Amino acid sequence: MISEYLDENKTGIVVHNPRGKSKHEIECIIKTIAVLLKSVDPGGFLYDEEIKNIELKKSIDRQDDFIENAINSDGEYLVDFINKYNKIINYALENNSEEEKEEVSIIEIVYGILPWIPELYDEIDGLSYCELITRVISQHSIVDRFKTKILVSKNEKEYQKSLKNMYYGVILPLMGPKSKINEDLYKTIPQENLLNIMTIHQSKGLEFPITIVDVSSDFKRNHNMQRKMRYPKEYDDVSTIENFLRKMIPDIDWGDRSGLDPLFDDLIRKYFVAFSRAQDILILVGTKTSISKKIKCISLGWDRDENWKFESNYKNSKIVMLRSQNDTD
Amino acid sequence: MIQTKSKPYVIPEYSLTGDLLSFLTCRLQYRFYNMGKMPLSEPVQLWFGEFIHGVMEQGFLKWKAGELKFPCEFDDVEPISEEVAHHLEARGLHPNLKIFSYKKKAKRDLTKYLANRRAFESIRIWGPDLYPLISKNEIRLKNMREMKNYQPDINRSQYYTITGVADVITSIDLNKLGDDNKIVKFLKNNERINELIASEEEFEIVVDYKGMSRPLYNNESSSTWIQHRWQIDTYMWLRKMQSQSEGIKTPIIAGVLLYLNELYPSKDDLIDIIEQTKNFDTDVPADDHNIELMSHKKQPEQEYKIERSIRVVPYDEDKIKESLSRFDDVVSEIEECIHNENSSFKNVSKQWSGNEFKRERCVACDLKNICEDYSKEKNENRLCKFD
Repeated sequence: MISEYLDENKTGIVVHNPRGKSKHEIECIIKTIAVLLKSVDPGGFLYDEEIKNIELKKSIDRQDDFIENAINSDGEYLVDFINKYNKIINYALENNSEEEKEEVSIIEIVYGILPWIPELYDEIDGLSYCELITRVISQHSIVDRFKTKILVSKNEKEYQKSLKNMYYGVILPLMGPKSKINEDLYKTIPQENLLNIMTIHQSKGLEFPITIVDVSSDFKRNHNMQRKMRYPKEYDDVSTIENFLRKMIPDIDWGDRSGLDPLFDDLIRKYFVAFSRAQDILILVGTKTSISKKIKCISLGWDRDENWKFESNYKNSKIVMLRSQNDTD
Repeated sequence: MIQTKSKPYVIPEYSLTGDLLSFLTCRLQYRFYNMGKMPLSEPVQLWFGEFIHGVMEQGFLKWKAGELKFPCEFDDVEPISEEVAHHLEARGLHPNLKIFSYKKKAKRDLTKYLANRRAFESIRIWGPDLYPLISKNEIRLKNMREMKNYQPDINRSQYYTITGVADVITSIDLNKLGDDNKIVKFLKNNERINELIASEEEFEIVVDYKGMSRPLYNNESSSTWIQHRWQIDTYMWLRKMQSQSEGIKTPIIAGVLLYLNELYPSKDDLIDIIEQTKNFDTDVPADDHNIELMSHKKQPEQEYKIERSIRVVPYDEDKIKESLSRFDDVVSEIEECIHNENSSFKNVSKQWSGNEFKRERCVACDLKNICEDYSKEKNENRLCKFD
């Protein structure tokens, strides 16, 4: 939204926010998926029978022109690359017994596609997308009985199973919210005049003359679903496991700290990191509702005893309220 | 007044093997696989390197716990191999089933599954002499060095941290060891080390396992041969710095590289050894008897294999300074590549070109189709037969 707003208003400010985009907006990822599907599934089994997500189907369909016309720097056509794999698969489906099955490596195809998608290897953001794609494939290979290969022989059922494994184990997770760009891959933050949007984790060790921190725009309501992100009330899965493991370590004296203390500490540390990035000006942005409705947030200065030290500051109008044109809150 | 944004101050950290040696092997592969953390499509060499390290490490732990005794049989080592292979699978590193077998297949044909066989030979041959000497294993080493030719516009800092993991530090007390220990025998065979030993009763050596064959040696001009020297010299320096900071006075007198593939060469390796001997490309040439055996695709004598598998590098301050300086140069080059990449944020692959073409590495590389150097080689038609 920020980059769109800045673009529309011709500010000339470019945003650097590799984690902020939806995967469907990242063309090079969609291109990779589309080419992969065309290469290993010439019969369209996955597209016709398994892909139910309309947004994904539309994103894939958008690539038809690209696939038809893409030429790499050596003058080679992408369709020829795809046809090469189609021939291997069609031949094996007709002729190969199970003992002679053809094993087509998904990750090998992804690396093979690179010459036609230069943004994946020639741009820093693209390299992080390329790492994401190959990481998802590699992680799935640990649990995949097909080891992220498409197995092709006259046994069409096995072929289709390996295709489905690829779809459910690689493509869907890749497009899902849990697969994230690895920020540690960025050795430095861009130095030119870019508006860097990053996670608090990525900002560790850095400093900026002006830092803007979002403290409450996700917390318009006092909803249990987001409590752990602003003011934990109960253990989540991770802290449940940690608490269980703590009991197994008798040497540590936990003192009077309750099981929720570490969760509060984590949040406090996180916002301490965020707030201490500013050299000159720190701007906190959020919604008026989180303040008017007194939604408990560590980021707004609530302590773990449910006291809000920030309240008097708000009442004394030391906060500058910035309203956008669309702010109905 | 609002300041302008300052350049972030970062002291970069470089791993000896993960960064410096990888960069020297191929810049583009380094950018993708090391910096970029991408997996290889067929990590055969990576798998084997991790596997053999893991086997030697696990073998030591089992021996220390009294679960592995010497002399050992194939069946004693096979469970160790399988355990290590399972651990690697959990990290996404799958074995090449042409060289490794989980099932008892490996025992039925001990010549076929090279990885299983080499694991057994490594522990059987070196375990009895090496394991009793080990004082520490998998030791993390770290120290800081000045950035050579520091340029504030290019380098991220005036310093960099160099890290490494030494496979083994051995503490040798000659009063307690006999000459029948093979490690001590090879140390004493080296004149320079003999001089160093003469004045010390107890000393340390750094040992590094290599899941590969002995590199070519031809008046020390082979790059792999030299790079291994740099590596072991750097480990010795790092260990010395660490010992000094911990108040340990035991001197380090040598580094030892164990080229474990030599303990069971493949058929292709046997041909290579014969060629190296004929061309004077090795510091451990085969005699006529072993050449005769190898030309009939038989394994050479064990004594010869042992000699080929060990390389002893004496502690030498001047040579260590030189090795460290070479690595300082490598760090400067990497810093420059990173700077060039970050200056443009595009044309990334170009910033990591300038690699030496090596057929055996490049033809099978995942990145060959985006590599400028490979493209040059291809366009000059040197590759059409093999591509």
